[in-house]
Amino acid sequence: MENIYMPLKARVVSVTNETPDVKTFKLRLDNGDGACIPFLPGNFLEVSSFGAGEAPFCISSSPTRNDAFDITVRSVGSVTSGLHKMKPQDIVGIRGPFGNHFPCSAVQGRDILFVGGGIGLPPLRSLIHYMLDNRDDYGDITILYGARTPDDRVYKRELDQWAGRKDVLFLETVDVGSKSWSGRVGVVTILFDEIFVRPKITTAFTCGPPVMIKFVIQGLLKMGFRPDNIVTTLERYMKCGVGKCGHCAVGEKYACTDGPVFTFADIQKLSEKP
Amino acid sequence: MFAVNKIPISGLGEDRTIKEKHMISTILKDDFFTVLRGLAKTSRMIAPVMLSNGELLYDRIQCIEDVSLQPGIPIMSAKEFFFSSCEELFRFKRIGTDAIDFVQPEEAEACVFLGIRSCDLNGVRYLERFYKRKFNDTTVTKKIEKTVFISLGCLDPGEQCFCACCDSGPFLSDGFDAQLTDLDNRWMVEIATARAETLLRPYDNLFTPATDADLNERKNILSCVDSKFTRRSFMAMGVKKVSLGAVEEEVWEAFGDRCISCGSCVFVCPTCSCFNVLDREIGEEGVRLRTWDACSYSGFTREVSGHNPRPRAADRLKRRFFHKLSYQTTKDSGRLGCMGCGRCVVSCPSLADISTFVTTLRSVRTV
Ligand SMILES: Cc1cc2nc3c(=O)[nH]c(=O)nc-3n(C[C@H](O)[C@H](O)[C@H](O)COP(=O)(O)OP(=O)(O)OC[C@H]3O[C@@H](n4cnc5c(N)ncnc54)[C@H](O)[C@@H]3O)c2cc1C
Ligand code: SF4
Ligand code: FES
Repeated sequence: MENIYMPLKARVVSVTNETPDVKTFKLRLDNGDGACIPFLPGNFLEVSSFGAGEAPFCISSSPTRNDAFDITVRSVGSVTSGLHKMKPQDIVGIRGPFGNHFPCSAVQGRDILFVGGGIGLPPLRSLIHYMLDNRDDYGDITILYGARTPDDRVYKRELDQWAGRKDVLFLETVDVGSKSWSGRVGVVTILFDEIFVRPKITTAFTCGPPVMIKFVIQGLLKMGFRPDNIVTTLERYMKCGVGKCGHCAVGEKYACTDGPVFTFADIQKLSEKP
Repeated sequence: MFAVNKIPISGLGEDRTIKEKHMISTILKDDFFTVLRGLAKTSRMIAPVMLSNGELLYDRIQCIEDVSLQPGIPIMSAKEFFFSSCEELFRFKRIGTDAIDFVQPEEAEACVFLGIRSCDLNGVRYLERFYKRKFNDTTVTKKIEKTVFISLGCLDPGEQCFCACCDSGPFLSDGFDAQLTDLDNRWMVEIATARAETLLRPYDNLFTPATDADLNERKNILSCVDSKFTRRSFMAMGVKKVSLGAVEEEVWEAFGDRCISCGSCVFVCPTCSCFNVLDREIGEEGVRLRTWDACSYSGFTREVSGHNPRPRAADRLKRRFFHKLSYQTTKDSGRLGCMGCGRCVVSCPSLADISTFVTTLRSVRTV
């Protein structure tokens, strides 16, 4: 008898401090070889900090680098602060991977535009790594990233690497600058003025806070993107991850099993506003 | 006093084969009591009991004399026995600092559910289907599978009842293992599954095959019951308007203004199944619990950022009624999400129940 709520044991392999309240955890299953259960970018895990509870996190690593699951966690409440106390070798629980995934193969051959805001970068990072590891399958890749302040930028080292690559265009901005920040200041949509995209052959992926997504989608539509070429995630409050607890329901869909990845065209069709 | 032995019936849960033709027989009520005594010796039993105030409640039976097959609808639905208000999903135990052990919850036990009302059994089947789809939640479905349902058709629908408008009662054509019809001093027993037959076989000599006269009597009874319903809810129209998004915003607002977000409709409802999950830990040992939750609570959808997709009571009622009524959601469940048990009609302190709502939608208003 399989209990769908029973997690698998996993161990923290390493902890990276991203910002004052965000950490990335590398988690490896405690099952011998530690190999991941197959997943695709966009899938999420239910991660347990036993005693504190369980919460959903998107997998921020790519299946092309399959030795562990990365999750990037902002400390906001009981489970997330429980995780933030963890050190290498500590035990967590994992259920999943759950949910649908980004259309990785359906967009082969197309240009790709990523627009990430703040803690919205983790799900995109999985897809970015995936595409960079299969670079020949995709056309031009542009990555736009906005954070609140320079301190709030996640994956700082990787951002610099992306900026240095010749086969991607990476631009970033912060809402509020600082003395040591010499980059752009302003919301992420200001970067739209600096890029050249061909909306007909481009698919845009955007994740971030709800307000940002709203403005990004408006901007993309104005540029000429069709709603079905704009892909985002609906991170509704979730408990079970398997379509039972009812928390994540939007109209007739469940964000946990029908999503979390939706095109803007899907979202427009929902019978309830997300 | 007759104490019930706790011996599980072996194999009871496994054979759910539905018989091609229902076997119909009758039994004197006194003899049926003898059958119950016998069943109680070998199996756990859930059945309605009468409380001191005259209300009925489904309960685990300790003493067979407590069983009440009187007409009326039990105050709570049957869901508690399959999807409990608070239950353990598993336990965990820390061993030192770097190991943890899990303990699975106890396996579901075979059981006889006697006297379950048609609306409630339909509710259980609805939950079964929901908990099975996509990911099979065996913490719920196993309990249902291992239960033999002997349902009781209703001859005296209460003021609150409108199952006839929801295609869920007062009698069933399927979904039961056996169904009882009250024929005055006898019960008519309709056996639909092999396991019900197995269960009752030891008492074969007490049953008499139903005669044509018996079947006619039942037919007459059934045709009379429909006219006894005093509450009508125009569900088909409710379904249409809710599915099409044709309910005026003022109606949602009026109902939202009435609703005090207490969650009582959700807790009494046989088909509401939303839940919360939380951990409790004392020392080295802990437990992951599932508790009932309600989509009418304001925090139900509140996200960590503070963003709440359903901030108003009206938004939440819209959600609940959409889920119960709309084509969009009912096509997955195969039937209407409301069983017409009328419990929310009784429990709602402010006339924001589904029956009042649907009735309000009639263009020619009668209330
Ligand atoms: C598909 C998906 C993917 C996600 N991916 C990520 C990710 O990659 N990284 C990430 O960091 N997050 C992610 N999240 C969000 C993450 O799941 C939440 O941050 C997490 O569930 C918070 O859990 P918690 O126990 O720490 O917070 P909780 O303890 O539940 O509380 C969070 C906040 O809500 C408040 N709160 C809680 N209950 C109440 C109440 N009853 N009344 C008032 N206030 C209350 C608390 O004060 C706190 O501020 C994702 C969510 C989804 C759905
Ligand atoms: S919505 Fe009300 S009447 Fe319908 S099944 Fe639920 S409690 Fe019974
Ligand atoms: S998270 Fe429980 S239904 Fe989606």
